[in-house]
Amino acid sequence: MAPVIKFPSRRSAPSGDGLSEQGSKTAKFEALCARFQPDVFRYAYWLAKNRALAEDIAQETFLRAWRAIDSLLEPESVRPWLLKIARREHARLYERKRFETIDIEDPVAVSDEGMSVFPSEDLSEVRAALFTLSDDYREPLVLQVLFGLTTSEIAEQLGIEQGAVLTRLCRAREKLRVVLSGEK
Amino acid sequence: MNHEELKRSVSAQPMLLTSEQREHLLNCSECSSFVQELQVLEARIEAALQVPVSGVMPKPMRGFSALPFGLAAALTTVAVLLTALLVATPQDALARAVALHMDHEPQALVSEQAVDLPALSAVLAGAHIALLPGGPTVTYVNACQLRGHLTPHLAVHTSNGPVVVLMLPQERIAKRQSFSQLGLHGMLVPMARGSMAVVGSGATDLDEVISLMSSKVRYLD
Repeated sequence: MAPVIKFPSRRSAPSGDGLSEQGSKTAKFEALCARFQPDVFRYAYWLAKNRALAEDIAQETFLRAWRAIDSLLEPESVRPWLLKIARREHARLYERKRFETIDIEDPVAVSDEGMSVFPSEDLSEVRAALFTLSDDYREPLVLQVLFGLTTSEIAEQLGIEQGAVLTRLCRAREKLRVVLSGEK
Repeated sequence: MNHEELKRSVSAQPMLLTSEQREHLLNCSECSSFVQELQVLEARIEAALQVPVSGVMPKPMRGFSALPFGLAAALTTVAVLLTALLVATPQDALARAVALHMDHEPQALVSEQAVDLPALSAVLAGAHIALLPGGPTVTYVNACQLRGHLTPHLAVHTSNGPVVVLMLPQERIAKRQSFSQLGLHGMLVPMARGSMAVVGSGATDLDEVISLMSSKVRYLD
């Protein structure tokens, strides 16, 4: 059973105005979780290439976000902020656990429960192709296609030049095109 | 711009064609074919990236499954469009448009300061709407476009978190309808003129906001 994010209890909040303030903070945080958890999970999934690890990363991301939510000054930066936390959590996870191998069979076979417009065989094929990309190529592609980030935003997120982002995106698609078409 | 330059630049951003690229494509069938194939690939990539997330959703979100929305979805097959037309009601389409719109304006959910009354009045007046005194505390306001119509986009403060309200005077609906799209829970409500979309998280009380807004909204001639 996958872990479920536990929100801080409203009952543990201080009394009086503090209760209202705490309740408001909790409500704000819950709204953020509801809105952005799919994004954070998917980003973590494509970083970690493993569903269970992605769940761990998403869990840790929102726990850290809860602790730091008061420092979030610019509302429009919520998603990039969460994605950055997730990226750091992914790096931390690997520092701690140092995984030796990654089983890509399970991620590729993730069920879509009939929600996709594409046949599940096609999705599996494309996912398998995505896993053949190096992390350097896959990550900017995920940020662009899944979250609609511009190349400059991707550059900022990854800490690289915009020109490098353009190159990686181009090469990623070229590799996918070749893999999926069976060309050599 | 030669063929190789075009293919390289479009491969980096296939959904954002510049005027120079469009001009080249009009006169080059080879590159045009390349771009069409690339855009089909883009739709497949987006669908593949949308892995199901229901296993880690918090309680209010259980049961939600992701649909492959986004730019590339517009390029999916004619069959998909036909299917959508057959199964979707006009209100479903409106609900989806509302959810997609909110996806691009997440900042509405985190603003906490009450907006200036003149700014709020100006945005509402643009859609021939006024809000009577004693209405809800509005913490976000923006004049948006939704399905080609000017749409006041508000966030309303409630004790359980922000609730987004989209005033849709051009969107007539037959009856009240709840919806869950993209992880958002909302209600489409018929109004004296058009409709109103009220959207929040699972914890928020939409009926409270609907009642308050309905009593305070007035339509201007």
